[in-house]
Amino acid sequence: MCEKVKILVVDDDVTIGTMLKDILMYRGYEVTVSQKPLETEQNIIDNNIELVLLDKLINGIDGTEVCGLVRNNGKTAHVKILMMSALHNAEPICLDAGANAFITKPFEMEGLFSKVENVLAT
Amino acid sequence: MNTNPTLGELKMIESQDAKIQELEKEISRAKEEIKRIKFAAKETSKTLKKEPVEIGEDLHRLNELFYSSPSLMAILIGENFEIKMANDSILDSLGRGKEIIGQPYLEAIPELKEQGLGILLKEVFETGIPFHAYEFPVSILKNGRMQLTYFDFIYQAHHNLQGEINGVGIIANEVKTQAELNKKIKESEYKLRQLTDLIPDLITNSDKTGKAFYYNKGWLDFCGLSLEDLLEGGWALIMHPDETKEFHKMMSYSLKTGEDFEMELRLRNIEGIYVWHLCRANAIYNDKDEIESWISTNTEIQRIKLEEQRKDDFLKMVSHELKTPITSIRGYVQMLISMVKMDKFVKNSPLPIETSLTRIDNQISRLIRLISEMLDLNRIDESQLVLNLKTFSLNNLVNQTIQDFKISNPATDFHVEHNCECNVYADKDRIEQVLINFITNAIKYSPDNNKIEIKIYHTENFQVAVSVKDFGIGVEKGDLKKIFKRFYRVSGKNEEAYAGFGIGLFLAKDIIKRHDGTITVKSEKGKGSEFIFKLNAITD
Repeated sequence: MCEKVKILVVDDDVTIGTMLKDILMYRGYEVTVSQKPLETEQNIIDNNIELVLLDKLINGIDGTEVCGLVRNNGKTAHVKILMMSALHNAEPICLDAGANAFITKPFEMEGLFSKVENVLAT
Repeated sequence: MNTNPTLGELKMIESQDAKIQELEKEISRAKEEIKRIKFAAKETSKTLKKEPVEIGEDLHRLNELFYSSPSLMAILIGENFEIKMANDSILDSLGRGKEIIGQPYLEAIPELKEQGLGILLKEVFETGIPFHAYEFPVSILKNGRMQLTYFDFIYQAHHNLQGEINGVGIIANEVKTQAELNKKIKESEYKLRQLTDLIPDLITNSDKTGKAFYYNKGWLDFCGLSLEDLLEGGWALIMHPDETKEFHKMMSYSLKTGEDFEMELRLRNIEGIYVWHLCRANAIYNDKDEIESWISTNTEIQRIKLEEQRKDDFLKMVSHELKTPITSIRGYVQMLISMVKMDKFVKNSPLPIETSLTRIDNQISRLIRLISEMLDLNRIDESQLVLNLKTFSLNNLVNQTIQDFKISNPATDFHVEHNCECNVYADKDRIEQVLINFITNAIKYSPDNNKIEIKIYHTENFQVAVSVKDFGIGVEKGDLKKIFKRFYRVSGKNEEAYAGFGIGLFLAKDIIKRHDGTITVKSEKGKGSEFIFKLNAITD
């Protein structure tokens, strides 16, 4: 059996973080959850992350800025980023910021899985 | 008896004959004279072309005209301007009676002399050049007090039969009312200007090409520019650059068609800060129904805009905050449903775990829909529903949407028929929203029949139609028009089962209308409904 894909969830809402961890683990991924967006780059490096699930509206900093930081860091630029938000019309902004894909909250579980798989497959 | 005449008798006869001959000559001469006189008389009347009786009648008519004329008329004769003739109109106007006829004009009405009219009369009398005056103010002693009145009048020289000036003729009209009317108009215009200067709105008057020729004081106070600057540069100078393009586009349309103009835009005030205004312009038509000018007003709506923004921000925040816990709930519920489906032990349990979880999930969908509707309604109210237009395949959209429905509504039997492959240039999310609304309604209003037919087909005029047909409760004919109205909901015993804001179809109609498409419905009570939307297709 090959090694599990490692996913980092960055969301300041603790419950959403836990929920995402639970359903993604149920699907067979290895999940790290963080409520500290500024530690994202370090988290990616430390945990050998392949995909970041990044919320757009985080306390103190906008997800798009975090996305930019990850993209501009040579050590993390290659990581896939799936941004998410409950805000209307956030998709183009997130894609502009360098996200590979976007999903609107609240989402269908199956919808999330297919997005994650699609992003990882690209 | 002897009948032969004597010699004496013969001589008498001879002399009598000569006399007769002479008399006859005399008679014929007289006849000639009469003829001549008659002829001369005839000639004279011919030259006059009038019979003497007619001359009398003409004089009568002239007198009638003179004395009964509503115009003021008088003839003054001699250096003293003795009043030879004066009609009742002039006597009335001057506040005098017939007794002044025969008196010198300037003595009979001394106040005229004091006001310089004597000099004017004298000039006309001496030079023969007529004097015209319009709305000339004259004060006249009437009923014991001086009264100001206005005249249009002519003084012109009066000539005798030899053609020499022997007096002055007066023809005048009292124009007191007209002059006062003009004065009133001027006053009213002044008041209007004062009014337009006092109100805080910015008011412009423009010619039919849209070039402004009047700015009220509000403009000068607001932007701090001089009237000259505004007249020269136009007020587009201080408009926010983000709005100028749209403004010129809409304005030129209005100028062309005469349609009312309305737009919200920002104008730069004296401190350099842009302030929101509601700009309106309306055409003013002349009596030939042509546009004569435009009146435009700019009303400050900064506070309203801020309120709107606050409401909008609040709704966005509420919606975001509500969606956050819903995201977690939905994630867990769907994970559990998925787990339960895999677990034979739980599946066979007498506890209705799976059905309960599915019901929870459906209620979550409903909650999410309500939240989006609330936001959309706010957007429609503020005309903020901006379309994000892209080219996409309508067939793919229908397939994906139904795929999603199949997951959450496994009991529903979807029949999809693609009669054409078609791309449209539209807002994909919004069209999906309409489709979801149609399908949700179809499911909601078919409690006893789970079949739903969806068709995509070409129609006339290069349009593509999507129809969603159910076999449910249908709509009463009388209600068909109402269902697209805001907050309208089908009423009935099971009303509670069909809860919602009642704005789904209202929104759908608005969305399709914004795409220049149409929405139609066919329905029969008890047999089901068919909802159809049509959009312009992209033709290659």
